[in-house]
Amino acid sequence: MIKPFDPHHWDVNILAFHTDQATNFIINIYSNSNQNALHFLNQNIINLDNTVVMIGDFNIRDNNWDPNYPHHSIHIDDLVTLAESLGLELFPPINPGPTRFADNPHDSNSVIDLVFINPNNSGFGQHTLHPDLRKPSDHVSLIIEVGIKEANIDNVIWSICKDSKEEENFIKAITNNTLALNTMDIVSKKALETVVQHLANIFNDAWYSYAKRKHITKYSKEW
Amino acid sequence: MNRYCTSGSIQHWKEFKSNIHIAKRKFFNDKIYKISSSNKRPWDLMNWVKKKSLPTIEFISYKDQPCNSLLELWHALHSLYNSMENRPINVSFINKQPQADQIQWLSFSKQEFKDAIAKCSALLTPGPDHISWRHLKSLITSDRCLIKIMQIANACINLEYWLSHFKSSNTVVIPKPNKDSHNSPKSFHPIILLNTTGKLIKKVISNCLQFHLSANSFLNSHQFGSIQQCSTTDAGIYLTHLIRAGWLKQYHTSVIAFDIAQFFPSLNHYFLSLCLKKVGLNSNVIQFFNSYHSNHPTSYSWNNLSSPLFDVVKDGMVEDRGTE
Repeated sequence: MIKPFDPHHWDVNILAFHTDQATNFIINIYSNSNQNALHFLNQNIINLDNTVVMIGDFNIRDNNWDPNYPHHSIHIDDLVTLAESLGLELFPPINPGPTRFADNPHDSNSVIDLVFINPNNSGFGQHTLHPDLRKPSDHVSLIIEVGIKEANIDNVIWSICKDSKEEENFIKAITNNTLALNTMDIVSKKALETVVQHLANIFNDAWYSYAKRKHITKYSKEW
Repeated sequence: MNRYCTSGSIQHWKEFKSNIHIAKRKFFNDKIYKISSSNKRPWDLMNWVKKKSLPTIEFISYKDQPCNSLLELWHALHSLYNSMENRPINVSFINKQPQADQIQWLSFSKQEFKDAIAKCSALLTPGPDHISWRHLKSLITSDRCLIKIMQIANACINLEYWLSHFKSSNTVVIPKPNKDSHNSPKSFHPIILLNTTGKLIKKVISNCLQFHLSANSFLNSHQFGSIQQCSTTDAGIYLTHLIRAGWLKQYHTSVIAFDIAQFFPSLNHYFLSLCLKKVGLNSNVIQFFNSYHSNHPTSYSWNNLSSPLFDVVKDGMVEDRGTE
């Protein structure tokens, strides 16, 4: 789900993906020289606990990730605060180098594109810089390997085919058991609940006795 | 085909193909005619094999807040579909209406059940009990089984009680068609799947209620929706009549068409029970409806995900205030 976090800050994109257990986030940031995006996120973090990766152009030059740059940025505290609040750590590339090439030959190239990941997530492989892929862009491509495990997605339904032997037996079972149900002496709400619960059990037992598991596959038609 | 097998002639093969084409066309034309003229459910022409996936590329936001977790999504859906809970209403005008004589509510008959179930499509999705109308139709072909269900239905009215088993439901959320964006719960459409036996009893009660209201002239003659033997055509004829009557008097007729958002969830059940009393239904039936309208647990289904049970307490004052 890619959508700007706020219409006035078009430089923060959040991708959310759901699993059965949780909702995870991937955050992509472009923070301008005033660090509007960082300030906005630091003040407006809402339920982004399961962030797995934060990546982007932070426009922050700092000796911590660029050994050729001898200074520290005044914005580093904002960035560290944000990363810590999301439980993320800097993920340096295996082939360090500039991530942005200067337009002007008199300026030096810089490291301003950074990746932060959740250190507890074992799914990440290597982070590499690919200056050869940048083409007309002044920014280098950052590639992170993400392990994808094979998993069975349980797309199973229970059903009884129309006009099948199972359907015949199912109807026979619910009919015979309903006939055995005593509905004559319903004199209280409790008795009524008990009778209907018996009826529900009759339907449920018959269903799971005769229904068959079916897998929905990619060949099944959509409606 | 036999002629082609013996002769091997290309002419016979062409005849065979042509006959297949004609037979197929006839079969599908018959089916389309039957669906368009009898049950009027064009979607029966399609196979419903796989669940329609919900759009997954947009962020759902509710009241300008993004739903960042499943729990927030369930709460957003639940709040929207029950947004009219506990709204105060002014019921003073109902007291000015005349009180009708009490109507005798008779026990249900077998025929009422048979009539109600005859109109139900065997293709509708069953509720949490997995019982489809097709199964229930087969079940009640046995008179003794039908009598058992009738006895349960009569006991519900006599004991003024609607069972929790019949109230529990699964609310399936599907996208509304023709929307540019599906980023709000309003762009989705809840379909409540209830247990089928309970639905059958409800249909019979609904038919009885409509009969009483119609026989005693409690229905407004201008109401066409959901009324038996009234159709959209009747509404159209009535509108045409008004326009033509206006022409005779040299008037221009203006028509305002509007849609009331969240109409059914907005119905106040306390007010409904007052109306039922005014039209002369006995206290058993009114108390039954009060029980019917209270505490409906439902779980929401979004793609393959299911929410925990949410309790829908419709204007909770119903049972507390009674029917003074």
